[in-house]
Amino acid sequence: MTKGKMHYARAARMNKALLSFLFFLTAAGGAFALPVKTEAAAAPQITAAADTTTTAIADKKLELHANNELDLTYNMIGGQGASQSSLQKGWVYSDALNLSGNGAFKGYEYRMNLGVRYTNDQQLDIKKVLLTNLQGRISDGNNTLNVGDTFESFSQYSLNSALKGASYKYYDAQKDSPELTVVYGLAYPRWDNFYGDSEVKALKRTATGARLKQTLSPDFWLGMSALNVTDDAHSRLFDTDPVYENSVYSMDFEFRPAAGLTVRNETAAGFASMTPQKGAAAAKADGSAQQTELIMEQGKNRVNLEYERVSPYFLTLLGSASTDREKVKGKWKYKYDRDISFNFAMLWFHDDLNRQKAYQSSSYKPEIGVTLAKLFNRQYGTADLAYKFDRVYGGGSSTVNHLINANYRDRFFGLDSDTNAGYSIYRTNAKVRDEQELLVNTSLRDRRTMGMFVFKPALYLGVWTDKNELSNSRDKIYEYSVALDPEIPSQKITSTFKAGQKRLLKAGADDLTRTFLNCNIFYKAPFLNKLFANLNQGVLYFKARVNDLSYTAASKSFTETSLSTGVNVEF
Amino acid sequence: MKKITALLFISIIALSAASASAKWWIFGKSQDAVRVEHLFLNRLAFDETGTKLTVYKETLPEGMINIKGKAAADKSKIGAVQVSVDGKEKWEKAKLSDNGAFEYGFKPQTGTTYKIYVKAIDTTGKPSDVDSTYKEVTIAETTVKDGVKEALDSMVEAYKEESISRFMAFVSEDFTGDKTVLDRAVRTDFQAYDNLEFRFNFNNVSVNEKGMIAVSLNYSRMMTSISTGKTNKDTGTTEFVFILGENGPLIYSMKTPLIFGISDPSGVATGSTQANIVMTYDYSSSAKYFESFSFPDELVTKEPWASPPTINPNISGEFAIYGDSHHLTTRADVSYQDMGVMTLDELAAAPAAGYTCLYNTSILMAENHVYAFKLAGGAYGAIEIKSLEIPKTTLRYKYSPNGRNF
Repeated sequence: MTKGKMHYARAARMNKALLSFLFFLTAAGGAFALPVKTEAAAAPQITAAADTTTTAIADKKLELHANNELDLTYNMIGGQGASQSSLQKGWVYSDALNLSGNGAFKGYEYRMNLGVRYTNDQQLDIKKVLLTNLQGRISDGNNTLNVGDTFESFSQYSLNSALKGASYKYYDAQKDSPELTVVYGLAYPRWDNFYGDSEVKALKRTATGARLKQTLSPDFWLGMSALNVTDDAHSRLFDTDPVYENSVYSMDFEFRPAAGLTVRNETAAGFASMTPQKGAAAAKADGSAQQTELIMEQGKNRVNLEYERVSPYFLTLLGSASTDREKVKGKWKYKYDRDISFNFAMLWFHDDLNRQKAYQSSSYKPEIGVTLAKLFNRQYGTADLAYKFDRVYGGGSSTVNHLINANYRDRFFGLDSDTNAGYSIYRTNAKVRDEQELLVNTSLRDRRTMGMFVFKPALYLGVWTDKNELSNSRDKIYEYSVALDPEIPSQKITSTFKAGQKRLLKAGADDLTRTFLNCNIFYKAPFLNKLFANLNQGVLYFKARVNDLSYTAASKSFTETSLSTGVNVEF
Repeated sequence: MKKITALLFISIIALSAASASAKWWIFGKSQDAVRVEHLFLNRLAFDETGTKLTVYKETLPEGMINIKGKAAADKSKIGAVQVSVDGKEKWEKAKLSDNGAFEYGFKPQTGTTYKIYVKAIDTTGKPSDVDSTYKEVTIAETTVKDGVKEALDSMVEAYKEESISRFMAFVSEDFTGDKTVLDRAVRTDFQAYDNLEFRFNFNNVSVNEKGMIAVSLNYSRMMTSISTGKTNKDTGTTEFVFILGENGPLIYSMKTPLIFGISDPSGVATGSTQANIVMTYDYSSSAKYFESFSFPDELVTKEPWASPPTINPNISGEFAIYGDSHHLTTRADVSYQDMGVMTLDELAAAPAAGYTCLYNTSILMAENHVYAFKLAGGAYGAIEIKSLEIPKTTLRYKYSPNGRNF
């Protein structure tokens, strides 16, 4: 038997064993069901009784809702550097229609959802028409079947991605039965990956899995997941695309042994086979991952302790994991009194767990912060101070960064102010990097009512400098902007107006000045209710935007001007 | 490290064995109090979310809010549990089991804020601490899709104004790439990039019963690299997972290509969007003869040239590919090494030595070869040439901001 076949045989045996165990848990689940009192002891303060959880699903007529967003934009792009613009010149339109319906019939509740988008903006979608959502769901309260867009999040390491397929779930809340979920689907990000041409072709990645979760007591639940993901080698985009067969078996639990104390854990084993390119032999990638978290909360303290280890060859195609990492993390939030709180944290992690890389790289990131409210006896004065330290070392390289931040929020003469100051030092040894960064910005905001108008003026000022000690150069950014967000509440009109300038003064290169103007007006027009029967909500809008980027060298400068109008209606 | 593992393991065993009666670490807490514990709002634990929580109608199973928990009293028996959803104005009885587990369900209205309190009363009439159970739940008027759009727009605004605290307010404590790592990566982004313009269209938005939201979107992005002073643009498809928080959706996980934290993709992203694992550059669309590139993201510095330069010593990106001849050149502060025929996945670390600078010169690239790059500031990158056609070049890339390990 070849190595690959042995691997598949072992994976198959594990699949069988796990499914047997899942079946056993399902069967045994009833033993753990909570006995529910039929009559609660009387208490004098009770004013009314409500028990909607046991209500049978009553027949309900199909209720349809529609939502349509129509947008029409005209983009003008000028200047010699116009090719840098991310906008599409000329008329750009898009229309997004969503239809949803729900109802109940003979004890079954059903729900469906359909979304379609049409656009000619090729910067955002190469295809004009896209099916954005397609979903149907039917449930009798205990059994739920979902078809189409399917998002069953088993656990972090196993399944944490949306699929196009189907899922079935069984859970009897009254008996507190085990919760069984079975899923099958393709991990396509778009519906036209199924039927589209080569422009939207994607690797066919099929997922099949099951999860069983049992609440064993009010303080303890246990979950087990099994997921197999298989890539279709014939769907490769290129002959050199790697394809995978990946099985992940995971167990997770949450336990609350005492009030304010929570223990969480997930342990997973991953078995993968990777074929790096067409015709190549498959290589194994088996590994494990585990994460344990303790959360302790009492009164003024909240402490989190976390340990995670993800082995170098642990692969999860549809879960979330940072492979080849061992991590320890601690956080302590301490609220000294109503006005003062402290935050201490430490994160340490390293890679190269099996010593196969060129060297081991370690990161160490402690931080300390304090929040002071009612500072200087000022009612709205709040300050946040933080110091963060970063160290990354290994392979003869050592990076040490110091990050100091201060934030102060207060109200002066009726104006809300928010000021940030940051000073950072970035150093990497052997004269690779030596920079000092300073950032200061402040904003003032107000709200004034003048007759039928409400104005929310704001002023923003910012400066940023970065001094490179090695090249003895300094880059600077200056920014200033003003905003005036007038509203006419009686006419259901809201708007935002913002204009400003940002200047990048670049040492040894072209300077850049960005001048911008944004104007958005929204109107909840009553006449839309007369135009459309059953209209729930209708909003008309107009947007204008100017974005001018002027470089010292005119060949790179360009200006974008966009005018948009549209209507959003909801039935 | 083994010691830490052992210590954690022993702690878990000890705490598990201690069971419910051992509260030795809760200093000064009264043992005979009537209390409410383990509160859940549907699948969301009360203490895992802030005091305020915004939920969307689509995320509620059967449109219901179910409040579950456990009431306990050490020296007496629980007689009743009551729930108020209107700020203590009116109390309603929850369904109670023998062991103190209780449940209360109601059908909320869109656009309404519910001020929820839970009260347990023992058989002597002694109540629990009601205020500690307070949760303000708003049922959003908008759809999940609008909520996600609003969250992403607000994150982009905070990113533009370089307000790290406002930006991180949209990131869940349970962020899979680690919130601290993202914090540092975004700060580095602020130092490296400016003038972000970000537009997006949803490909798909899916919600599950736990209130988690999976989002696939197409984006068009433009931003200025401070190191080169160039404004770059790119387009792509990426995926996020959000969970519900105080002000709406919070980011739970991100996949490559990244929108935020692009300075540390290997630390921040936990997965990749498979539709965008390759990049194809078509040189035929205009009179361009090469594209220059900069790591870490696929931000392309497009430089149209009137005629093909034989050698271009002044590219703005870290390296450039000539579309009409498939030559590779580098900037003066960048050097390269041909790793031969291999896949990008096989390159765990960039080599320590053996690099050559291609400033003022160029080499002919080959299909299926991986090229490693030593960049300024202790960073490394690598590209895998998937195909070389005229006028198209297709490549994959990876990047490490700190050292050679990818």
